[in-house]
Amino acid sequence: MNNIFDIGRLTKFIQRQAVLNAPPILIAAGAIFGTMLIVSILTGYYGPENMEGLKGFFLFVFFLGGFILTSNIFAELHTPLKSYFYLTLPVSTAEKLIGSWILTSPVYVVVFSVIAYLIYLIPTIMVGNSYPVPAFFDHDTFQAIGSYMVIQTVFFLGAAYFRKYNFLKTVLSLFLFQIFIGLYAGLLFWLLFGGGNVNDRDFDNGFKGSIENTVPQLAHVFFWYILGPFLLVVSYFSLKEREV
Amino acid sequence: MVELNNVNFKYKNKKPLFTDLNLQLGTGFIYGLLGKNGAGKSTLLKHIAGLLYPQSGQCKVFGYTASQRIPQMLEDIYVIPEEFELPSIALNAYTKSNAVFYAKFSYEQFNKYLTEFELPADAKLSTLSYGQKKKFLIAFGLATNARVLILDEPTNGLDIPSKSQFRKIVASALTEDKIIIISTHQVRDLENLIDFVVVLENGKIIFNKNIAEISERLAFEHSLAGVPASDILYHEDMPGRKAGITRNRSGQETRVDLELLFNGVIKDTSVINSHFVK
Repeated sequence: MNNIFDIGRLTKFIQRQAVLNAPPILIAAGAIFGTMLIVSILTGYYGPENMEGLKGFFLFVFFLGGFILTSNIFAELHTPLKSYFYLTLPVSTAEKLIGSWILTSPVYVVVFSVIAYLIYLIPTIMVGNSYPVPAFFDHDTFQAIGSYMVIQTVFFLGAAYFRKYNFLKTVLSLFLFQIFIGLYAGLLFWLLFGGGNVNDRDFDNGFKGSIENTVPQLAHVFFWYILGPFLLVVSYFSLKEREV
Repeated sequence: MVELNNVNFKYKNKKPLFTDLNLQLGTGFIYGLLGKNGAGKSTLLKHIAGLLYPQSGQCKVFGYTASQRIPQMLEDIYVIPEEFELPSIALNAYTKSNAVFYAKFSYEQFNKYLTEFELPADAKLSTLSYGQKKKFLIAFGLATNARVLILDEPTNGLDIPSKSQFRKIVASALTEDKIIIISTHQVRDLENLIDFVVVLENGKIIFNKNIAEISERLAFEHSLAGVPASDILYHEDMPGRKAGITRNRSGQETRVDLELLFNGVIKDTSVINSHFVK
């Protein structure tokens, strides 16, 4: 038996988590999808010209629901009266991490997308050809799903690291991190340029060019290829070091 | 085998609890872990289960380092905590989704224990009382056939018939390759069940003896009237009499009164222990 990773054990773990967490998730899902259904029907009936807005609403629910679900994925670990069972479950830390990620990222994306698509069909049929209805799965949707899968890892780390109020603490951490980055950038700018007025002429073409070309590329690579895996690795060590 | 070698541990912002703690627990026995509140019993059990990490020293379970919590080791450890919370799902669903992780899980044994504890197999966990939930966990834990079974205050919440059922079931579940560790304050519930008495005081193992050896060397007297003072190792005043621990001069094994033994060990450790020096 492999003590680090075993696909059979991972599957059993995913099934266990799905079964044990099913009651609260099903209640939440019922409420959310029910609301989406009502909003969809009302939009189809009263505001068929706002179908683009409906799609935006769906994406907002998709992000918010996913982040809240992710923030609670290690609830058993953080509940003192339940953590014994979670920590002594014969499953490796890697399997617990991957299993939890699969449930909150790919499984969530697929399940939400399918149900949301089915709900979206209702106002689409109601509107018919009278108004242009944006396609549900277009480039923007896939871009949003990709973004979710990256940003979700931030909430995943928050779920593993914080013991209480995981969602709120993660949001607060992101806010503080943004302020820190803003202050840091401001300080750097002030140190470099002395706080004086700066315009295009102050940059030579080479510097300006390299900044404009390099920074977006680096940011692109960092966001899409580094950030997610890096946060998952940090989450792994957070889980590995966890005691009761 | 469970081995703790020179384990040092302290909780954050607290004084050290374990200082060079050493303990060996062999297979085929039931250990009664006794100690006052705050002595470190639960902390010791958590170390064995890999739920707390020693700051230095080692805690090994069948050769595995407990703190690594690798699946192969965890398959051989089942912990029944004193307080717990179970999800609001059917008993069957919980069993089905958790039993799959234990290669030696026996549904036959599990159903037998459920029947003995008079638990309905189709009940919803949220509808069970605390005592029933505890009985369910004991049945599940025993059915995993984990080689190390850790029970923290297992009889808390059990009614009187269930306590004797518990003793019967645990005694029958012990095999040569298993170690059962029971930590409790209800010492009477362990009588005729445990093989070893381990007493923990201020983070130190102050007493660790086999029941047979205890009953061979010590006698537990309901009344000390007529017993020579030189034979009395420990006594306590009871209404109208004195009860105590004396030297066992008869050479015959006597019934061990765990409450008296525990009080005696706590009050006068060196006197009781010196009686075991060969």
